[in-house]
Amino acid sequence: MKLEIICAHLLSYTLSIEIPLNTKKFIQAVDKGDQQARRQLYERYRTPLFMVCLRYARDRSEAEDILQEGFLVIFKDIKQYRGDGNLEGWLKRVMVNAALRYLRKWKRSFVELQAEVESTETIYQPSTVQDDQPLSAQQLTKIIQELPIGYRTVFNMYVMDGYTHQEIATYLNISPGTSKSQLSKARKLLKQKVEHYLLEL
Amino acid sequence: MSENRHNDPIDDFFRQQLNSEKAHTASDWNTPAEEVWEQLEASSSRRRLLYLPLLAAAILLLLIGVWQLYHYLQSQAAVIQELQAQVEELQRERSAEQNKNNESLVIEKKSVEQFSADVIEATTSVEDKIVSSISTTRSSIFTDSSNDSSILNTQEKSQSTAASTKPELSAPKSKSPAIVQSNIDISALPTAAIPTLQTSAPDLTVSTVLLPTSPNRGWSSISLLYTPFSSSTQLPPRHRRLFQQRTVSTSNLQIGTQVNYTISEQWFIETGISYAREQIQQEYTRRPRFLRRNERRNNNNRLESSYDFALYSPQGLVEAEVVLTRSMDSATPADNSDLEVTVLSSTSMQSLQIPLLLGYQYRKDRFRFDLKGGILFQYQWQPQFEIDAVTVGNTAFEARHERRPRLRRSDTYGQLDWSLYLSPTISYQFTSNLAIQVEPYVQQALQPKTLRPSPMLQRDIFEQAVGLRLGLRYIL
Repeated sequence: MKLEIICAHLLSYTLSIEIPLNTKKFIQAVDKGDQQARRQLYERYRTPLFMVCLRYARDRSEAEDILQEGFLVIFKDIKQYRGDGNLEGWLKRVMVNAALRYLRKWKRSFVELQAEVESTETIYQPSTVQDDQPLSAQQLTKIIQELPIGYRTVFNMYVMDGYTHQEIATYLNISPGTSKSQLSKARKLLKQKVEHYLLEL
Repeated sequence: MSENRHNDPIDDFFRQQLNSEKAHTASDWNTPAEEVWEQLEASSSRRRLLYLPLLAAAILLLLIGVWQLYHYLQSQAAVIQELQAQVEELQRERSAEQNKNNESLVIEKKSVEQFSADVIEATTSVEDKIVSSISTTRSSIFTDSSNDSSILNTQEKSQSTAASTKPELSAPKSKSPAIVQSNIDISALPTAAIPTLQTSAPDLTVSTVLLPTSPNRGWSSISLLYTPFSSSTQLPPRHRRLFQQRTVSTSNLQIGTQVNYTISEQWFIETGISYAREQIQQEYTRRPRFLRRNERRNNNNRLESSYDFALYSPQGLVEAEVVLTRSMDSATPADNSDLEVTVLSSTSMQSLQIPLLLGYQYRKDRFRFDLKGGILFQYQWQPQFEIDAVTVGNTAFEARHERRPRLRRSDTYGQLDWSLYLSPTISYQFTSNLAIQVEPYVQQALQPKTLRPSPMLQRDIFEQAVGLRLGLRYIL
């Protein structure tokens, strides 16, 4: 298993050097359904995009569902990529949209989210975080996954993916004020959880 | 959309850690399973493979229909042209006859005038004769001095002479050719026939286009269809990683009404509405099946293990979620554990179908063979019930209330889809109103859309199906 991952990583690294994946010809090949081109694109970007999915999902299974749906959208809409910006950035945007669509489709609505926020508000107290603690990316992702869906979504969109509160409000059909308050509560909860993990360690 | 972004230290911490190069190094945890690519590859190639023949068949059927319609209209145009030519010829004949009749009338008029003149002339001559005879008689009276009775006899004689002149007058007139023609009965001439003929000609042209060539252009019927066999492939929405694509066999009873409109001798359009109630016959399993186990630490530092089960019965789907919550805090008592059971059950799937089909029919005696294809609009729904929350254990730790089991209507799943439909149907009409039919079919969903997803019971996304319907049709 380890060898397979190393090989895949080497392949993606090699592909990223030798083949310019954002060229017009390559994009056209993906758009026309060339399986080899699609496979190259998938191999190259599956890890960063899967990390996006992991942050938005509750668990690995959900993240794989989101990744699959996101890649189907990418293959269908790749002609919309104009080639002037960063391809990875565009792909991440598509994947975030796929994640939001998935959450909206199969999860509770974002109206329930606010009740969830209020019920947990009184439980956690804010605390400080020490930057030099040895928490891995996997552990941090797991901490984000443990957040309630509303906290998790707003935190991911604002902090990790650079959306504004206004944009978040539009996407999630909530008010900008709610987005801000949820972010604040998410931060507090994250500090609490990080502290707890560090104590366990 | 500018906004002052306030960065908290925790934001920077997460951003730095998760965007670092080290975090992006491929590893077990951040590499998706190989099945994801397999699914992606399979779904795109399968879609292509399945879409193409059905799409090609539908397009071919449509093209044949358009071609047939074009030829039908062409043939109708030829018939119209032929009819117009016939009408023109008829008009020409009529106008020639009219001219001839007009000429006869002129001749007749002249003859009548001549006849009148002759009559006047004859009368004048008779009068002259009478006058002359009277004068002769008078002179003879004066000369012969006869009695009054002789005068009277002479007058009677003159009258009888005058009366006898009429046949004498008609005799020479009958010898005239003009008088021979005047024997035609003028009153019997069809004076109104000519203008009527002129106005009826355009009517004939219009009616050929608007009215059907056949008196019976369509029929409507009430049908009762039983589907003993229908096999569809479906994609489970969330557990596809576990079970991949699966096949579901169902049977259903369908009642509906259809309208069949014939656009040419062989081609027809069929539409209508029908209601069906589905019975699931065979799922991938009938016994309780462990779906998945999740473990997560909740907000109160308690380990929450959830177990999902699914049971597919002929009556519908039953899904259960068992959540066992245990305290991870050594300071709290050991009995601080909860067991929560939620059972969701769904009834049979129901659906409303509206077909819009183009068909080709072939009839022989009482048998009829149809090949029809087109779009089938379908709305499926499934009421679901929830037996909610059997909670066992000490619930003081969490702000939960112990709930007694209760049954409540949870939600109604709804799915709207439209699919390509193709069916060769054979029917036998054994009375004028009653027919039986066998309808095998193939169906490919185009864009299924879940309108009301259930929070827990998630129906599979219908992809394609093959089936057989047996039907009884009452033709209205």
